[in-house]
Amino acid sequence: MKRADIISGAILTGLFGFLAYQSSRLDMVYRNSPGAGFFPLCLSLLALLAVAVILAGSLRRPAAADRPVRWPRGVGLRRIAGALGGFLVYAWLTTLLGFILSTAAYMLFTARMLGARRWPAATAVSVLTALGLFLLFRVWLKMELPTGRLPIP
Amino acid sequence: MDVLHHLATGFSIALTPVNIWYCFIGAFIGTLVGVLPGIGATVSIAILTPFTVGLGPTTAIIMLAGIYYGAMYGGSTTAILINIPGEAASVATSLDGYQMARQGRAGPALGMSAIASFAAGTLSLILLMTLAVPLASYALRFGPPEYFSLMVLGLTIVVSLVGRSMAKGLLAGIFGMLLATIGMEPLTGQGRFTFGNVDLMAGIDFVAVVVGLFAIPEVLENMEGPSLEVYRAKIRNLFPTGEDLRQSGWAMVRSAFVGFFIGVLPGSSGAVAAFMAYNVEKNLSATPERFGSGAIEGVAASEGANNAAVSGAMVPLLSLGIPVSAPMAVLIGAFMIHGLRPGPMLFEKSPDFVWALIASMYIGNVILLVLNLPLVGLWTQLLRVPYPYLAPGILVLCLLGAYGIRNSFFDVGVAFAMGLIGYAMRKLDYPTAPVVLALILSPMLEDALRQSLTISKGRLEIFVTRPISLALLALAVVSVILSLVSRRRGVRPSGAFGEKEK
Repeated sequence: MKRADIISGAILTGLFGFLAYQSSRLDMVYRNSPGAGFFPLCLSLLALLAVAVILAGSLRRPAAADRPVRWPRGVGLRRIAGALGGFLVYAWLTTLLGFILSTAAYMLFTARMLGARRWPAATAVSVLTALGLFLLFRVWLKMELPTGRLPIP
Repeated sequence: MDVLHHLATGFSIALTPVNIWYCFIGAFIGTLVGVLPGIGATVSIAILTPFTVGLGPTTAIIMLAGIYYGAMYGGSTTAILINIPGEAASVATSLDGYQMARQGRAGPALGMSAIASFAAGTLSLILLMTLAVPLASYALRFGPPEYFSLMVLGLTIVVSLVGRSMAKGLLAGIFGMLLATIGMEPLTGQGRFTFGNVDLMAGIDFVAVVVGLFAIPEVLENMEGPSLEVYRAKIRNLFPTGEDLRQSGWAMVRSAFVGFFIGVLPGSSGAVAAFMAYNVEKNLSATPERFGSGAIEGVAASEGANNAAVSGAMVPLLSLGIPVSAPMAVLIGAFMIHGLRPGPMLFEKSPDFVWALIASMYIGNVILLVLNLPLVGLWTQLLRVPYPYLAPGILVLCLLGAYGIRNSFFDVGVAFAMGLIGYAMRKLDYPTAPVVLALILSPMLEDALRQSLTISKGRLEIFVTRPISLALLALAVVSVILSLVSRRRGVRPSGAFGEKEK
């Protein structure tokens, strides 16, 4: 955690420093009240202070009292990367194939990746879920769903 | 008498078929998401908020509130059957409920859970009516400086209660406040952190943030480990025996009071309320050694308290406009989408709405009791849904929830980015709930700050020269000091904004 806190602290210092700089370029006063930049500048400076406290705490913390960060590895990491990558592709696919086809494809891909063994069952569940969600949200709740270029919704 | 008159009006609105139907839907969905691992009350309210836009505000909020208290009940099913609480608030239930299930008494544990939720939930609603009205009347005296100080108090209490590190909790809160500043500044029209991007000009949608911070990291964390356990045993004899009811009667009453008053406090939660009520019962019991090995009054206390805490949390929400927990913060966002601003003026301007909501909570408690006892079998079946199908299903709902409010893929991108940030925050021990709370409170806080300084012609003394404002700020300082002292002594409070809150 110590190393992670130091690295994240450095990144956050850069981020909040940048936000403080951006805020300082906005008006600080508007008539008698704070301008657009006043509040975010105060917040950015407070954030920098909090980051400094976190960094100081992590530097002072003895190695024996440190708890390691448990980042995913192996299968877990592959699953997460697959699900996140799949999610991005899925969002893009909805604009091409529409909601039903892209949802069924995403469900099938992710279910198989996470360990659903039988193709027929996985396919059936994926298609039925996509159709069910379409009926629930579009037909019943009248919600706008992403539409693609195909004539299928 | 005035209260009874208003309540009667509330019931006349809440008992219309459409409102009963959506109350039922809310309680049903709430129980469903409470049962299923990986999606909780906060995310469900956020995801379903876009779908309520076409409904009237009263119907919409009745449904969303139903999700909240339904989830409180639903979480107990997994806690009892497989020792995995669907909600943080059900952790205490698992202590005795799971032991009862192992002894073949899962049915009475589930039945008691429903009965205690109903009894304590109903009793706590009486407390809600008793406390919220006078508090709202008193809060009518509040001006912008008092509101500013009240919000500072709310934020400091929350931040001081969260996570392992106060600095990290504070930083999470500030991050949420900075997110809220993105977009066109309403008074001057200046763009803040927009970088010329049209989508950023409209600001960051809170639903996308909630979906990203809560749902996506939960799914990702569940993907790291082995698949979740599936419950296969049959459930019999749902109704507790006369002896069970005799043992648990006073526990339900006491848990209603404990849960309600803990629920009122900012930063507390159903989880804290449940543990507090559980400990009260254990300390009062003549046989405390039974607790932890299947004492039914332990189940009654924790389930009663976590439902009563929902009514408690409604007090500051309705009378002051202050959310004390993450689901309440999301509920405030839903209020705003429907053109309602919670706070003392709500009782003045929209009494029908407020009382219909309170009346609907009585109805919701009855619905949950009627719904849950016969449907325990269905909820158990749901626990058999394999996670490889559940996980992508939740992610699809995330996409729909983020897309739904503005029909924008930009919001889906925000949800995705917040999902990554939320996952990293969990790993690095940053609490995520203060981000949402601050995101909701920040515009109101900035507004109150600006109005106060306009009144005082830019002089900050206005916050300390008005007695109520000064008292609230003093309380904020005291809460921070108390928190620092307790941390130094090695006592770390846990609350609504712990890492696992969903």
